[in-house]
Amino acid sequence: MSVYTLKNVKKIYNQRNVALDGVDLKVQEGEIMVILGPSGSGKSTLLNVLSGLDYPTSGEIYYYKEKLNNKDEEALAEYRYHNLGFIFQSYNLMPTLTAFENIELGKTHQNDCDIEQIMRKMDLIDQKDKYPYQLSGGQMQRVAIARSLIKNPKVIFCDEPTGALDEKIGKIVLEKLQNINETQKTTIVLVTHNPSIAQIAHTVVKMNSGKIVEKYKNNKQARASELRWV
Amino acid sequence: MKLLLLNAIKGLWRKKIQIIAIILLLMIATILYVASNNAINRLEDGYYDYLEKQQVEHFSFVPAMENLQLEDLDLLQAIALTEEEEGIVQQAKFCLPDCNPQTMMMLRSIFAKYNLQVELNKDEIDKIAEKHGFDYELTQSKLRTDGTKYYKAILYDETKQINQPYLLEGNLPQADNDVAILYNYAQANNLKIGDQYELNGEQYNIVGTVFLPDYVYPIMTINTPMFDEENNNIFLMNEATYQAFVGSENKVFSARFHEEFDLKHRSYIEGPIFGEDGIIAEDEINMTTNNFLRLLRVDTIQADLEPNRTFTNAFVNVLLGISAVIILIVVKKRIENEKSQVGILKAVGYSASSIASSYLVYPFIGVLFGCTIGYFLGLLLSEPLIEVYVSYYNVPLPGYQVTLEYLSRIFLFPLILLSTVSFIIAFLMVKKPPLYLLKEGSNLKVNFFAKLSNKILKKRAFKTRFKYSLAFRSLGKLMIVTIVSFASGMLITLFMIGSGLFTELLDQTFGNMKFDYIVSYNTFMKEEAEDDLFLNLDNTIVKIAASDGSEIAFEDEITVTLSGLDAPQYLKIEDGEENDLIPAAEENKVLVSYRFAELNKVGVDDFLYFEINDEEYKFIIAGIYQDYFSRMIFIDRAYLSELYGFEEPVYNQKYSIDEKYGDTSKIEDEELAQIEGIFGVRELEKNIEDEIEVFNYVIYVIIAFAALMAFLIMLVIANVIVEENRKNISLMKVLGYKNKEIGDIILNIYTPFIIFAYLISIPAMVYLIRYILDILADDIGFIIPVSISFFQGFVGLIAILIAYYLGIGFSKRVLNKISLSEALKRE
Repeated sequence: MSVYTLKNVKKIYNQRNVALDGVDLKVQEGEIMVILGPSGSGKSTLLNVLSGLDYPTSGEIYYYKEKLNNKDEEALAEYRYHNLGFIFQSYNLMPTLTAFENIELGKTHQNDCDIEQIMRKMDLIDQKDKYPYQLSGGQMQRVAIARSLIKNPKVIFCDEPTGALDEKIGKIVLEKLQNINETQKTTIVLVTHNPSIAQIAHTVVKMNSGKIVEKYKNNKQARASELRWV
Repeated sequence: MKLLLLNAIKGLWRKKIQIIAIILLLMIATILYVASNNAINRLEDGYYDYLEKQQVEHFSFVPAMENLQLEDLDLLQAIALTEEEEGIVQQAKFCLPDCNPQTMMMLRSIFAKYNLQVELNKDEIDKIAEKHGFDYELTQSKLRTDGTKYYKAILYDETKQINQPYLLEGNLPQADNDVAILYNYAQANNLKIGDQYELNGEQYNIVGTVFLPDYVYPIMTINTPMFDEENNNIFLMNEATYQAFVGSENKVFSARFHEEFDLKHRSYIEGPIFGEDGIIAEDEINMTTNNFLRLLRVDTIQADLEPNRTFTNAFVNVLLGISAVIILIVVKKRIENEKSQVGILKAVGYSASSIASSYLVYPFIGVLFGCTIGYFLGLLLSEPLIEVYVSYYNVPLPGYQVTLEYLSRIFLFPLILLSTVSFIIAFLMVKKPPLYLLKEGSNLKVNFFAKLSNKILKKRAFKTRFKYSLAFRSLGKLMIVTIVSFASGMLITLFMIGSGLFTELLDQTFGNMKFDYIVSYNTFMKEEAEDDLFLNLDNTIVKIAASDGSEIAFEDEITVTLSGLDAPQYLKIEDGEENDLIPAAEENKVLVSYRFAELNKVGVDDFLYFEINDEEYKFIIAGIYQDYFSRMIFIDRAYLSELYGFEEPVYNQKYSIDEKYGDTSKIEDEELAQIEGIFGVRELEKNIEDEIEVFNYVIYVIIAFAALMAFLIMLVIANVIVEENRKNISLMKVLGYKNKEIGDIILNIYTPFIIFAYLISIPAMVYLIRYILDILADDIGFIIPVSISFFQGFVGLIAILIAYYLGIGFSKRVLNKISLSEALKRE
C-alpha cells in the first residue's frame, strides 16, 4: 500500500527557480526509501513537500487516500503532529531541556509510549537528565531519533541524519533506524548525498535538477553496520 | 571597518522593531527633558528678572505692639470707637505702660482693627531700617467681597519704588475713577482697555492691565488660599478713588534690602530677617501673618517649578537607563547570532575593538534620530507648557527663543552613556578567541537557575517546565522584565496613592464640617449666638510631660492655637474610631489633633504646659482627633475665657451656616465692623475638588505613560525572544505544534514574574512614601495618610499586563511568519 503518492508535482520558487520539475513517485508502507542527489538536486524540497512542510506549486500529493494539497497550515500541523517524525542533520534539540524533556517534546496526547523505555532502546537511559551541551553528537542524534519515535509515527523523515557524525556513530544511528523499520514497520524516507547509505534502502531514488533520474528497488539490503562510508 | 559598519547598518534594518523602540524611548526622554527644562528655565529667568526689575518687596511688616505707650493712645482720638472700646481705652489711660495682659490684648486688637499699627513707633522703625539696611514704603489696600468675588483696591503712587506694577496694556491710573486691573482677570472676563467696570454702583474706567510683582499668585486673603482668575481682581487706583472705595482696609509696610540678593536662595530671608542678628530675632518687627501671605503670593511658583524639574529629570534618567538596557540586550543578541561571522572576522585578522566599534551604530542611530526629533518636539512642547504655568501665575511670558543650551546635554550625555555600554558589552563578547566563536552554537550551556527550575517543577506539566526553562535561560532578560515591571508598578502605585491621598485629605478636612462659613472677629464678642462659637488664642507650649510625669523633650517652640469651644453642632471632633470627643474637653482636659500627636510623640493622658498671664497651667490630653493639618488644641471655652481673665465666656470666631455671611452687604453694619474676615468653606472645598480632578487626570496620564514605557520594553524583549528562538519555533512548527501553542510557550513566559514584581512594588512604594513623609513631617507641618485600595492596585496590574500582552501580541506576528524551513537549515 502506498503511504505517499505524488502526481506530477512541481515546486517553483520566485516564479523561476524550479526545485521540483514534475515528480511522480510512490512511497510504500513499511519501506526505507533513500533519496540521493547532489546539492541543489531537489531532494530536500521533495522531503519538505512530502512531509507537509511546504506546498507544491502544482501537482497532487496523497497521504494514503488523503490529499495533502487542500489542507491549510493548521491541518498540515495536525497531520505532522499525529503521523510524522523528523530527524535533522543538526539534531535541533532544545538547549534548555534535558534529554528526557527533549523526547517529551515529541509526545502527543494519545501516545502511551514510555519515554524511559525508548531511552533504553536508544542506550540513552544514563543521559536522561543531561542537557544537550553535555551530550556527544551521536547521543544528541539518538535523542532526536527517540523524540521522533515517541509518538509511534507512521513515517519518519530524515534529512542527512548522519551528516554531522563520524562513520562509526553514523552507522550506529542508521542501525537504529533499520531496527525501527524492521520491528515497527515504520516507513522511513531518508535524504542524503552519501551513496553508501543507499545500501540500507528498499527503494532508492536518484534526483538531479528537480527530476527523478533513476529509481530502483534494492533487493540486497545491507546492514548499517556493514556499510563502508564513501 | 567600512564593511563592518555596513554590515551593522544592514542588520539594523532587519531588526526594525528593536531600533524603533530605542529611538522612541530616546525621543520621549529628550522631549521630556527639553520641554520641561526649557519651560522652567525660561519661566524662572523671566520670573526672577521680573521680580528684580519691578523691585519686589523682600518682606513686609507691621510694627510690633509689645510696648504701647500712653502717647500712642492719641492715635485713637480721631477714631469713632464703640462703647466697649472706649471703656478699654479709658482703662488703658490709667495703667499704660503696665496694664494687665488682658487689657493689653484688647488694646492691641483695637489698634489692629483700625490699622493703626503702621502709625506707631515711626522713629524706631527708621532706626531699625537703617540698622538692617532696608527701605520701606506704606502699602495700602482695601478688600471687598460678596463671598464669591473678591476685589482688592491698591493705592497706586507713581513715586513708590517697591512693588512697581508691570504694565501690559494701556496706562497706569492717573485720573479719578481710572483703574488698572489684573491682566488674567481681564482675559477671563473679556474686559478691554476703555471698558467701563461697575462695582457696587461705582463706575470705573479700565485704563490698563497689569501684573503685580508681589501678587505672582494673587491670593486675596489668608482665608482664601486659591486664586480664582474669574472672580478675584486687583484694582490700582489713585488716592481719591481709593479713599472713596468701600472695603476692609489693610496697611502694611513693604520693605526691600539695599543689598543685592539672589532671590533663588532662602538665605536672604533666613539671615537678615530670621537669623540670629535678624530683625525678627531682635523682636523689633511683627511679620508673621504678612510674611506668610507674601511667601504664598510671590514664592509659590518656585515651590511648583523645582519639584517639577526634579521629577522630570529623574524620570528622564530612568528612561535613559532603560534605553541603555535595551541597547545592551539588542547588541548582545546580535553578536550571539553573528558569533561565527565574528569568529571568521577575527580569524582573518580584524581586532576585537574594531569589530566591537561597528556595533556602536545602535546607540548612534538611536541618539541621532531619537534625540534630534525629541529636541525639536521638546522645544515646541515647551511653549504650551509655559502657557500652562503662566495661566496659574501672573508673570510676564518670556519671549520665544531657540536655545542651543540643551544640545550638548541631550546628545552628548546619552551618546556617551549608550556608546560606552554598547562598546563594553560588545568588546567583552567579541574578545573571545576565534575558535570559541566558531564553535557550534547549539551547545548552549544551561545556567544554574534553569536547572533548578527544572528540578523544582519536575512534577508539573511539560509545557510549564518548558516555559520556565526558557524564562531562566536568559537571566538578563528576566531581570530586565522584573525590574521594569517593578519600576512601572512603583510609579503607578505612587500616583494611585497620590490620588487617594488627596481625596482622603479632602474627606478628612471637609467631611466633618457641616458649616459653610468661618467668621473671624477683630475683637472679643460676648453676645451669645446660635452658631458654633470659638475663642482662638495663640499660645506657646512651655513643657510636655508623659502620663507618668517624665518630661518629653522637644526642640523648637511649639506655637498652637488654644481653641475654646462649647458643644459644636456643625463640627465633628472624632477620634480614629469615630467616637465623639467633645464631651471629653472639659475644664483642663484638651483635645489635640492626630498631626500634633504624631509630630510631638504624645498620647492620651500626657500633659501639656502653657503660660497664660504669667502663670503656668497644666492640661491633660483627653483625646486625639482625626485631623492631619490642624494646630488647634480644643478646650472648654468658658474655662479658657476664665484663664485669660474674661469675666464671662467670649468668642472671636464662629462657624455658621447663615447665608448672610456669603454676601457682606447682607450683614448688619455693626457686626460687619467687628468682622476681620469671612472664609467660605464650600468654595474652598469646591476649588480643592477641582484641583484634585485635574490631579487625577495627571495621574491617569502618568499611568498611561508608565504602561507605554512597559509596553515598549516588553515589545523589544518579546521581539528578542522570538529572534533568539527562531530555530526552536520552527522546529516546534515542524513537529506539529500550532502557532498559538508555540506563542503560549515561547512568549508567555514572564507573566508570573511581572505579576510578582508588580505586587511587591506596591508595599515597597507604600513603605518608601511613609518613610519619606515621616522625615518630612516636621518640615511640612502635617501628617499625610498613605494607603492604596485593592481596586487601585488591581487597575495598576491590569495596565501593566495590557502593556505586556500588547508587546507580546506584536511579536506573535513575527513568530507566525517564521517558516518551517528554518529548522531544516544546516549550520
